[in-house]
Amino acid sequence: MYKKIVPQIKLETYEKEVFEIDLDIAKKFGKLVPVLQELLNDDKPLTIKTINSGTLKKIITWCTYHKDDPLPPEDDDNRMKHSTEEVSSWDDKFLQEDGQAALFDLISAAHTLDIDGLLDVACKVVATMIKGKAPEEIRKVFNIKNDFTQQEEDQVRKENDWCED
Amino acid sequence: MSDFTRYLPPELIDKVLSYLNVKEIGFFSQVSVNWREASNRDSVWLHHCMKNGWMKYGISGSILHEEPSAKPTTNVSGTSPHFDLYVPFDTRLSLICKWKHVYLRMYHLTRNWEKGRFYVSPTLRGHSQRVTAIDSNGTCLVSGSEDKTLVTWNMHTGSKIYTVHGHSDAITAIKIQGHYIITGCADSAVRVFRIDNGDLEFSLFGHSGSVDHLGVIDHDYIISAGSD
Repeated sequence: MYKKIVPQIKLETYEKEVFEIDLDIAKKFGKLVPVLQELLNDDKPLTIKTINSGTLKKIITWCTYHKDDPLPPEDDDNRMKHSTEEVSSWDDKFLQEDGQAALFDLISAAHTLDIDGLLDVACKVVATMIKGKAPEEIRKVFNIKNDFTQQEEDQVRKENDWCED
Repeated sequence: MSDFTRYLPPELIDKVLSYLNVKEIGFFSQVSVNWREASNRDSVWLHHCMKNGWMKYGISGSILHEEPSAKPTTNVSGTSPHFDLYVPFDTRLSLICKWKHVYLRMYHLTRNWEKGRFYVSPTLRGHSQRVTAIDSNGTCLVSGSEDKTLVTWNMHTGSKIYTVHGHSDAITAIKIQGHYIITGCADSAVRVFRIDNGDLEFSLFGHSGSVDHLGVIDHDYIISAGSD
């Protein structure tokens, strides 16, 4: 039986695990696409040591789900509009289900692989975790220790307590 | 581990911050030393200055220099926020970055006008002819006119302090320098007066035409340019 051969690229993760990714999914990888295309006929995988297998799996899932999304608008005006759009509930759940450390890994990996759409939405999710919260609440959400001395705390409050609306 | 301000590179933290408004960035800064440093970056604040059309104030730079400000007598509500941007140097905090500085100043300026904290002083009337030169040091305003007089005003009350007669022609340039007022006159003389009582200290003759511009270098040297 005739089987359509889908071109695939190979990526090797931090754990030396090799993933085969369909080219139509890897097209999300912005600036990396031409590099990957050149490697298409190569047997050796591209090694990306800063990305672990778990994160790459998430990325493949995300790119597969969003495979047919329109490309993000190029010009600044539309980008602005784009950036205020709400995060879809699928994305929100997908990005938060593995905890914060995984989310930050994902942001870092999306940056490395130049996946604009994922980077936007993941940073937006982090921003939502901060929005509308007082410093003490933010500390609780991200498990951060207040390490200001009294003098520093006074100064920082003075610098930032001016906004009236 | 979950402190992403340590974990992510600055450009990604900028990206997260780009989804927050200035008030939220303010809260962000108050979380910890590292968070404060992460948000005290020009790349974060430039964006907000741009949104408000305040780019020009950062470029000319004049707003960054502290002017001796008028006393609270010009303040209607008595609630004018006085902020100083001095960061104590024995802390781990870096100085406030340039574009946050611009943002803070412009924000306060806009707020002060909106809330009517300052008002335009009543018109000062004291010359019988066209006013041709003024200068101010924040507390006192000096004006010179074609009527050959120099008048010093109290900027807080809007009242006249004294009038100087002593010029034989129109006053064309005024510069306040420390305790002295320097004037340029159409009679070609440069004169130096004491600011507290208006007494003439000395006159300088070197031009053969009207003295149109004055400058002071290093507090010690006066430069004059004349139409001669």
